[in-house]
Amino acid sequence: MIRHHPKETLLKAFAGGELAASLSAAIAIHVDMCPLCQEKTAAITREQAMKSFGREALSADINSSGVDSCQQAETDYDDMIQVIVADEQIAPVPLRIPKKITLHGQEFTLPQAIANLQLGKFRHLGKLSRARLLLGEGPIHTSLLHLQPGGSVPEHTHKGYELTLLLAGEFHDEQGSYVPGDFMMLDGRHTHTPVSEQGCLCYTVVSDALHFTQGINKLLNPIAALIY
Amino acid sequence: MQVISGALQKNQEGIKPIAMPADFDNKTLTRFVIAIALKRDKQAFTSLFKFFAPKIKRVAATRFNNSEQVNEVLQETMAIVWRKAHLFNIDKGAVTTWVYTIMRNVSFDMLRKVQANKEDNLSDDIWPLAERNIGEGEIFADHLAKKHMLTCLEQLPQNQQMVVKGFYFLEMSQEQLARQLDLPLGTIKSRLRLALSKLKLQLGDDNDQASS
Amino acid sequence: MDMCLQGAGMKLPIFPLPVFMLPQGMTRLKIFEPRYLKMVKIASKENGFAILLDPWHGDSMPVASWVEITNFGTGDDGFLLLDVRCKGLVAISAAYRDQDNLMWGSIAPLEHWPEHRHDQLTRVFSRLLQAFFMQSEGLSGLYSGDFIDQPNWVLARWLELLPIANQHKVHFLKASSYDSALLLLSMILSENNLRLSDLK
Repeated sequence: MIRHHPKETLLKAFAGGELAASLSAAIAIHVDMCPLCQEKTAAITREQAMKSFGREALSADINSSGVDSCQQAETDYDDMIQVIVADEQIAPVPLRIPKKITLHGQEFTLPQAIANLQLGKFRHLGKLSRARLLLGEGPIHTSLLHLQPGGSVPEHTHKGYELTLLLAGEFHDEQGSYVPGDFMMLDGRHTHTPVSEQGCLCYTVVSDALHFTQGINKLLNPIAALIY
Repeated sequence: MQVISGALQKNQEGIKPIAMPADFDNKTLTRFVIAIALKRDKQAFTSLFKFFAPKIKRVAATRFNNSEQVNEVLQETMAIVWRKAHLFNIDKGAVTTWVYTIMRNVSFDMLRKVQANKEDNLSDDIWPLAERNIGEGEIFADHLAKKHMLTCLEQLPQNQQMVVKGFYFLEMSQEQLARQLDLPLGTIKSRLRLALSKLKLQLGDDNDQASS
Repeated sequence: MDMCLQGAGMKLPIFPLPVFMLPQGMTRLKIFEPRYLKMVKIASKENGFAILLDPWHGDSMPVASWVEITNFGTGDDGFLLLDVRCKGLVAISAAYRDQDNLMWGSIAPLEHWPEHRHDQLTRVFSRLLQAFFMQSEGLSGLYSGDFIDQPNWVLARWLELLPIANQHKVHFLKASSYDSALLLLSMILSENNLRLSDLK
């Protein structure tokens, strides 16, 4: 059973579309595998929609700058509507064909959330293989990490933060053992040495120490970075 | 029309918010979306647009600090509503939630374009709009939704109806089946339900046989 | 049928649709997106195309219906209308999208049900289906009066038509699913429910 879940604040930021792509994808994968977090996320989304678009939001509009923007917009709206409805096509239902990778003779189906991402070359170091997912997020590096049976990650202290999401197989560390779907977020204070007896595939996100000092929020939150 | 002429007099002072959109309930909003899906109903779209536009702009303004981008979020969100209305699933939630998630996805992709310079439109993969698995027991709810759409379909001209039905509704309805077999609808429903649960049971049983 | 097994490794354009089709099944499509118009062009010159049930609910590799175009015309709205018939089922692999966002995949033809003879039950299903075809202008028009009074054909058409979610229908793409199809139909269409043991 999945025992490690994203915190509620992360789920909220995820539902609001406020997280960087690397983290959004990680939570999407977890949510897809975890009915509990699926429920939670659906409820959070409904709540956010109500807050943003519901009755209360409407009265807020009118009390603040709503009057001006409403009137100014009316004329623009008609142009915009004309442009939109001129498009005769309807969008097809997106098709999802699973993307598979093979590593050391083992086949893995990648979760939908990362199926269309550009995947770098796998580099091998002993029983450990790693390939970058090219998200272009600067100091945030996202990878697929594969351990062959008996493999381990050398002891390391995290700089910045690290997220590890187990996609397939198992591993364990000083704090216990993990199953696919387990979502582990560690900050700079932790050390750990994961070992996998049967082999595993993980999705990992690491940030540089340099940027960690700016505070995790700014890193997680692309909106903050854009505005400030 | 009054609303529009009022809005044209932009610079007049002291006009009270007459342009406030009507406060539609979910049932009305749902009707609009279905009318767009089935009839490309421009009037329904206009109503929907005017209802959501100020809301979308207000939320977008908290994320993007220039009005060009805010307008882009609005236009792109509503364009998707127009093109994907047929993918809206009545059983999956309210129209408001659906539009909100579209806006969220559009904003996400736009932020990524601005920041990572990537036009990979990841949001579709991260938050798939057309969701796959239908849980057990939802088969009938799913069918109810179709039934609802079928009643709307009856209003379409005959030849257009054929096409839409041919494309999306290859199935008989439960009513058609009941009429065909000359049985009460309730009997048909319980037979379908029973047959499906037996099928599932049997699938559990014969998986081994199938592989041998 | 050996004939159906030809074409292994062939590449076909793929049209994802929420339409469940078994061999010999027909459907009418409305085509307007440029990439699918391109698909029709290629399909009519070459080897047809594949309709992939979308979303795909199966637990295995996606299975699609390999179709040939049997008729076409223009609708009143100016869009291209296409009648297609399923030639057989194919497993899809190595799918990709071309520069026009049209999907392609390699196909491996699959066997469907072996041939069967009519029995008492399938005759009943056949009569019920014929009655429905006669009432439905759409269906008899699509099949242009061709009603094949053969158990596989009758069962397959029933499965396509029954108001059951596609996620349940995918099971009947399997070659070994004839008996369970019979069972399911007997529970829905007839007074006397069969048991699996009756079939043995």
